[in-house]
Amino acid sequence: MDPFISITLAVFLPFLLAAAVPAVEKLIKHKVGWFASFVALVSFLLVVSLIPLVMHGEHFQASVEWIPSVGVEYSIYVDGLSILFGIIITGIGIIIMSYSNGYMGHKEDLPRYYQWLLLFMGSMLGMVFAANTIMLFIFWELTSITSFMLIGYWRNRPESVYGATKSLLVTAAGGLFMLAGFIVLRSITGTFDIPTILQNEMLIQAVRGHELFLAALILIFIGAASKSAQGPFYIWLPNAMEAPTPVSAFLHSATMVKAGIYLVARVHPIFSGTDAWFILISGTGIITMLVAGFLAFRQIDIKALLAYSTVSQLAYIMTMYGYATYQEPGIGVAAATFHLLNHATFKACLFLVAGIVAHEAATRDITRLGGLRHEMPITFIIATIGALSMAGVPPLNGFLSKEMFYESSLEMGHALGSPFTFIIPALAVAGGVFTFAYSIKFIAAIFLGKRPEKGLPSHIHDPSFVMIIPAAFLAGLIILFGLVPSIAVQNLVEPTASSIMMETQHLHVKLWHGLTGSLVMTLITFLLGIAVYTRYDSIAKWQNSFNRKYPFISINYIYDGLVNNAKDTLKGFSSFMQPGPVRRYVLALLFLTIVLFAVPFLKLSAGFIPTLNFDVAPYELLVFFFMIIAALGAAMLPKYLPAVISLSALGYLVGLLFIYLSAPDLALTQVLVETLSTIIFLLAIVRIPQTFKERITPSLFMRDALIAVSVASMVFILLINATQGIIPPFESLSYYFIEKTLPLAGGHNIVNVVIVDFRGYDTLGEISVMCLAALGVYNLIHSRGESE
Amino acid sequence: MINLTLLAPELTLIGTGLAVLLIGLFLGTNAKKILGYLASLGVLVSLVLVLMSLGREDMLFNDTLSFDALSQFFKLVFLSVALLVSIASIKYTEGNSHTEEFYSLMIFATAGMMFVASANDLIVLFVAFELASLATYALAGFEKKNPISLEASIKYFMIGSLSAALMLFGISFIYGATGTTSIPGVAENIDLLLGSPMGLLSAVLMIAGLGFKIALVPFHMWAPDTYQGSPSVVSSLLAAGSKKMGFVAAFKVFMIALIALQAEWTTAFAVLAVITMTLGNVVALSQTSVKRMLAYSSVAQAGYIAMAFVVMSKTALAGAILYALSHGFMKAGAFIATAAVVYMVLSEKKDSETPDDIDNFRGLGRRMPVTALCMTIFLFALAGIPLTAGYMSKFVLFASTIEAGLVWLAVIAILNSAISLFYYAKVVKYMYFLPSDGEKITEPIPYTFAMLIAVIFVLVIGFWSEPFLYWAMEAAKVLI
Repeated sequence: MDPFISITLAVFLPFLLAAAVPAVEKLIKHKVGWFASFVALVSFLLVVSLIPLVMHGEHFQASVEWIPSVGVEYSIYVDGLSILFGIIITGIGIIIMSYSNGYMGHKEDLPRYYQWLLLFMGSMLGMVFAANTIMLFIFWELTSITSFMLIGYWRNRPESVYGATKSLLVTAAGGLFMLAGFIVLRSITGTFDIPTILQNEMLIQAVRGHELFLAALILIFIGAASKSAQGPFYIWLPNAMEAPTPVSAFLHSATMVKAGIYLVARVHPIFSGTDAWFILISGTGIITMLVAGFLAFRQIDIKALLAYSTVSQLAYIMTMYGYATYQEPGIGVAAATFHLLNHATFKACLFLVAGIVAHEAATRDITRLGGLRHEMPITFIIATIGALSMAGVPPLNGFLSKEMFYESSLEMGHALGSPFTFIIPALAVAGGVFTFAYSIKFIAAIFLGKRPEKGLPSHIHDPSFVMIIPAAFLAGLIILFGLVPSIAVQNLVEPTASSIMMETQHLHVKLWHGLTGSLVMTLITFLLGIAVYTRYDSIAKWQNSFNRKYPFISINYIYDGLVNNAKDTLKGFSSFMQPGPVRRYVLALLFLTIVLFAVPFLKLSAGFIPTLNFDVAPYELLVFFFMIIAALGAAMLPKYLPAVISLSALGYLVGLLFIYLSAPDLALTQVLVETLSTIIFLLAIVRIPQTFKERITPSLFMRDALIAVSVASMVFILLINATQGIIPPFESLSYYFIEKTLPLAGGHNIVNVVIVDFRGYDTLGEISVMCLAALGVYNLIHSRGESE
Repeated sequence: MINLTLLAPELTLIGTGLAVLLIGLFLGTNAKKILGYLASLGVLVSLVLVLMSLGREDMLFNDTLSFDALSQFFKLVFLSVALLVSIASIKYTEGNSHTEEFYSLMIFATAGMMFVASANDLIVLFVAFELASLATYALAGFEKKNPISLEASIKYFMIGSLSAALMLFGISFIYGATGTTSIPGVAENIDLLLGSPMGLLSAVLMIAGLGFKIALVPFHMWAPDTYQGSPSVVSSLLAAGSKKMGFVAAFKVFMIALIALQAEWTTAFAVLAVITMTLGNVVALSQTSVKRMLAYSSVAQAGYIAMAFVVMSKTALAGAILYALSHGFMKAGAFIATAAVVYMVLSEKKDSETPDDIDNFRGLGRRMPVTALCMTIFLFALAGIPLTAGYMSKFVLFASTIEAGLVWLAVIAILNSAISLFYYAKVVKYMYFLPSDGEKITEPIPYTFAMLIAVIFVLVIGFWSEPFLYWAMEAAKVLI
């Protein structure tokens, strides 16, 4: 089949068939899980069929037009890296969905569960095969949403809802930063297409030399870190453990949390080999590895322990991808890739064991578990294989990739020179020691020691085959990859490393390769690990007491403060911002206008106030004087009726002024309008209380007066300016009328001609307005009569 | 000879409005339901006529009205919103004796918005603006017996008149200095404004006047009160339609007429955009009334769109114009969904004072599955989740911002989007995750139908944005 069609099918079949899940559930009831597993199997086969295509570091690319206006295409890119992820996603998908058949009770809302699982799987596949950063982002956010729905699957538990919300906020917001980073990258390179950048050395150099290099790197890394729970963004992952355990195994250990790693690997050729890359990626990785590994000690919930362990293990991988120098941009790439694969096997296996234990023993609290090795022998063996692989014990696959981690740490330390020659391997060993200790704890707390007398069901046994086989299969893979690493290395790791390094890579991974530096480091890890394990409980106790004493030294504390208490924190601010009374609104608006006005005014005040010409007749002054008194009366009289009378007096005085200025038509209009509005006013106020209820304090009065005076002076200045006449290139409209009145309308009285000819329609409009207003008045009077 | 075919959509609409008003006089209250169908039909015909005119360019009435990609695109926005609102209102006005007034006011408001989109002269623009405004003042207070609705209307009216005065003042200064009210004419004579303080002053007054309609902080204060107090269908007209009218007017005034003063107003818009989106999102976080939350979300979205005035590139404008369309569907849809919930609450408890409280959304996923699903899509689209219209428009807008080198502005906008996710997700959480003991109820068909139309467009624009983006680009070309 054409690879383009294979990939498109692999990605979109889960989407399409997710829609069919409810119908299928009607047919085959609770067996619907097998249908979902089958869909995963189809996708898996489609992906596997493409392995030969990329076996030797080749790649395949195809696209169809989508939104050409902004340079976005539907395009896929298949190389070793995306195939590796595709296989992990679909492979673990099959295992998880089969396992869920045993894990999920038949009374649960199964269609919803499998629907979201399938949607998640499709989104995840879409993300790793996307050639285009925008497509990548879209699928990236879809995985956040599907994860949100799956974490919150048990809707009635507040913890589920809290965990779901937290994961959505952190990962979706991180995704937005990543998008910004992609856009910065596009502004440098001019394309959203990743392969185009990867295959063009010039573009890569342009990115590295660009001033926005650091901005792009940091923004993209924020996205990666939030998804892969690195650095301060780790906080969502432990809370995400409220999801059903298969979901945790699938999303929060094997696949979704590796999306960040995928992104780092994907952009590796662009950014790697710079100091910023090493400091940012490896720096964050090393700190996260140590802190999360250390914090795992105080966890008493099996899944929480595994969550912290996941954070720490992801940090290993991150660190290894970060190992880079200018000469050797890919010191840790092969090791990281191999560990990525191995982690997916052993961590998923451990989660499945956690699910089995919780399913059979009805608790995940390690203080209440113990001694189950007799009752669940098969589970015990599987758990031991998984945990020892995580601890890095030979001959399991975890041992191999941890050796490679140590080896690359030595190499990186060597490349950096003293004092890093020692520091970096030492930090790596410290991470290994923590891992070793909590891995042993995982086995010991559940299966070894004595069975607690109270709290556990009396009959505990290995679960049905439906649940045991998927876990056993993973355990088998762990051993297989450990004994015969070449199967995984040649088919998956080498093509991936080749595609990241952009040149063919050959690896030699063997169980025994002599007494090397890394083997010595492994031995030190075991010795120190056993030593730390003996002090395990006291370390946990110390952590708890530290946390009680200093609760604020915690990122969760900040998150809760920011997000959950946001309501209280913001309440004061919000209520200040939305006062309510309309007077405040008007006040704010006026105040702002004054401020805005003051800016140009102060800037250019020189030309703003023209010289005034006070040539006013004394009787006009008298009218002005009365107008001022009337205005003050309208503003200050305590009762509505006198205030309204005062206001109309002002209006009539304006009319009088128009008569003095020889504009009888204006005066007439003014008097009419004034009469009308006075009548409406009077009719309206008889229905409301006659005095103002609100008390006006002197300060309030002063404030209002100040605003009023400011606005008035603003308008005054504007008017003075406006009356300066017409600015030179234009001439007054009156010339037009003087010239045209006689020839065009045959009239001598310009005012008449304007009213009935030039502005005839306006006059008609004014008349209709007057009629309408009169009708309104009539109605008001009429309705008054009715109500009485 | 004047080519009136271009004016056919407006004429159809006004004819429908008058017909509804007159027919209503002769119908009994129960028969008035037909008016809703009539109005929806009129709007639909007008919408089709605008679609048919896409691509044509002409001027009418001494160049006071221009018909181009920009005007026709925005007319599509207004008519789409009007269509959604009039369909949804069939349920809202059921059994109301004032149905004909509601529909005619809504149609006249829409006609006013359409004339603003075509206005090529500041006076025409102002008159059309007021036509739309006056009609919406009355609509906001449509529930005459409901004090909250009246308060909403009065606040809207008072602040509205004040800003109309400011805008008129601004126009008078532009006219005084340049001697013309024609929008391209002002641009030609802009030298006369440049030298004098009047240029700055008129820009300030225009920002204040238009900022009110757009609800830019600090001119936004009326918006939450009004959106919350008005009937939900009216809020949807205000937020989704009337706000866009403010934008198209601002595009014309600033980007065509006052383009030479760009240096002055760009800074102002940069500050206003940042304050607007941040304040809108932050205050939205603590709202318990969903309508009020949506109002603050509208304020924030206006802040995003206003970024186009800062970036001033063709892509940014296309993004803003596409955003106007997308926001029309998302916000109108969200308000209509809220209207459905309000209807549900009021039918159970008649005297509920806060029917749009977020507590009433508990368990909606079970009680009103279609409404809840649509609301979820609208909210996710507003938050800018991919494959929705909201994402596409945000993407184009933010991408152009970064490409113009304004990384800081884009980062602020992205941070804001992240904040907004919180309050949108909160509603989704209430609908799907929190339990309620209410019964499942039949969802009113008109609301559902309107929501489904909106959902289809939100998704189509998200999946297949090319044609929409193409016309948005064409519209942007008119401006730059």
